Amino acid sequence: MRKYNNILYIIPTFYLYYTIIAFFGVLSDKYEIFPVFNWSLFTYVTDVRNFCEIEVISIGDELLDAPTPYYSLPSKFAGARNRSPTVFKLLQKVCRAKRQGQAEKFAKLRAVLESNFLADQRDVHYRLVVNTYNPIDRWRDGTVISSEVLGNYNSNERRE
Amino acid sequence: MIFGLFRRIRRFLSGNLEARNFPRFGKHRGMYDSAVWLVRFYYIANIFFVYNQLDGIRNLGLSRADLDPVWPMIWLDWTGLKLGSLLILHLSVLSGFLGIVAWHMRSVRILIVLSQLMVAGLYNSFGAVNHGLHEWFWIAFCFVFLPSGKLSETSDTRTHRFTFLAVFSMAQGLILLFYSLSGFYKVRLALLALLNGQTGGFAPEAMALTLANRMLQTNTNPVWGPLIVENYTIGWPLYLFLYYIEFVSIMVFLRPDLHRIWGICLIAFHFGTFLFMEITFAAHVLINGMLFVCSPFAPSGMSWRRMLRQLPIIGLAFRPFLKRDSHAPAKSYPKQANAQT
Repeated sequence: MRKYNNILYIIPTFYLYYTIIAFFGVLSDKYEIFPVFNWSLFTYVTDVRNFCEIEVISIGDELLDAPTPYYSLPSKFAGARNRSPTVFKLLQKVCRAKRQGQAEKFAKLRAVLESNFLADQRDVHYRLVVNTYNPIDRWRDGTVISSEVLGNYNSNERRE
Repeated sequence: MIFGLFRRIRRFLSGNLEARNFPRFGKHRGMYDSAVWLVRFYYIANIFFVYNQLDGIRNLGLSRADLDPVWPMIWLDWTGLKLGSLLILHLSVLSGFLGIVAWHMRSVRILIVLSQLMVAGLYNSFGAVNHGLHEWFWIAFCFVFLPSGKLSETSDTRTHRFTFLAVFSMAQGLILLFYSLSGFYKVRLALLALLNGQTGGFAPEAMALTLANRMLQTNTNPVWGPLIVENYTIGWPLYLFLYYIEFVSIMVFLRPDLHRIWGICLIAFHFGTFLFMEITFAAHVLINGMLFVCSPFAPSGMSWRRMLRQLPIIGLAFRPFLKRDSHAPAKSYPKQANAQT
C-alpha cells in the first residue's frame, strides 16, 4: 500500500504548490507562469473601465471615414473576424509598456502585434487609444468618458 | 498523526460531520472499472484534439509572425517557427497514437504531457496567453501518476485499484480547484468593492457590466447578452449563483453525491459563457462531463434530499429539515482466486 499512501501525500502537496505558484505568477513578466494559471477570469467588475484599443486610420491608400476600432473591421483582419481575444489582451500589454516607458518591451510587443494581427493588410496606419467609459453606457450609445491617444503608428515602418 | 489530521480535514470538507456509513472506496471495484474506462476515453478524446489542432499548428508554422514565446518554447528561437511547429506537429501525432494503444505505460503518458505542453505553448506564444488548453493539459499531467503496467497483470491488486482511483480523484480535485480559484478572486474583489461602497461583483448590475464590457472589447453580439444588459436584475441571481458554484467547487471534491449535479452546473456555465459572451470552452464541457457527470464516485441514483444536505455552506440550512437517507449497500464482488491485498 506504500504507492497508495504516497499518492495521498502527493495530491494535497501538489494542490498547495499549484495554488502558491498561481498566486505569485501575477508578479511575473507575463502575469502567469505558464502553464500554471490562477484562473482569475472576469474578476474585475466596475462601472468605470480603462481599456487600450487600436483605431485604424487608413489601410494602404484607403483613408477610413473615421478612426475605426480593430474589431469593427472583420473584412480586413482575420483577428477581428475570429474575435481573437489575443488581440485585446496583447494590446493591454503594449499600452502598459508604452505608458511605463519600457521602450524595448514596447517595440517587441508592437512587432508581435503587427506581424500577427495587422499583417493581413499592407501599410496599416493606426493609433493606440486608452478609453475610459462605463460599459453599459458605451454599449448603449457609445458614450466614452475620456480618450487618451498614446501614439500613431504605421505597421510597415514600426516607428512613431 | 498527519493521517489523523488529513482525516479530520477530509471529514470537515466532505460535510460528513455525522459518522459515515460507507467508505469512499467502498465499492472500489465498480469504481475502478468506471475510472479505467474514463481514462481510456480521455486518451481517445485526446487524439481527437490532436487531429483538430493539426490545421492550426500547420498554419502557425507557415506564418511569418514575430513570437513572444512562453518559457517552454524558447527553443523556437533556435529552430525557427516553421521547423519548430513541424516538430510539435509530429510529436503530437506520435503521442496521440501511442496514447490510444499504450496509455497504460507511464513513459507514453509523459510523452503526451510533453506534447500537450508544446502545443499549448505554441498557441500561446503570440502575444498573450489564452486558457482553453490548460485543463486538458493538467488532466494529462495528473494521469502521469496512474500506476503503470498492463491492466490485465496489475488490476487484481487492491493497491493498484486504490492508487488508480486516488489519481483519478486527483484530476477531479484539480479541476474543482481551478473553479474555486476563479471564484475566490471574484468573491474577494466583490467583497472589497462592497466594503468600500463601490460597484463590484455583488452589485445588481455586475453581470450587465461584465457582458457589456466583453461585447465592447471584441465587438460581439451574443444571443442573450443584450437582454441582460438592458434588464440587469435578471442577471443578478444568475451571477450570484455563478459565484457560489465556482467558489465552493473544491468542497464538492469530497462530496460524491454532488459530483453529477456539479458537472451539469459547470457544463451549463460554459454554455452560458457562449450564450451570454460568445466565449467557447469546448474542452471544458467534455472534461466536466467526463470527470463529474460520469464520476465513478457518484452514487448510482440522484437523491435531491442527499444533494441538498451536502450543498457546501447553504446545505447546512437544509439539514434540520431533511432527513438523512442511507446509501444503498455496497455491491459485493466474488473474491478472485489470485487476489492480493
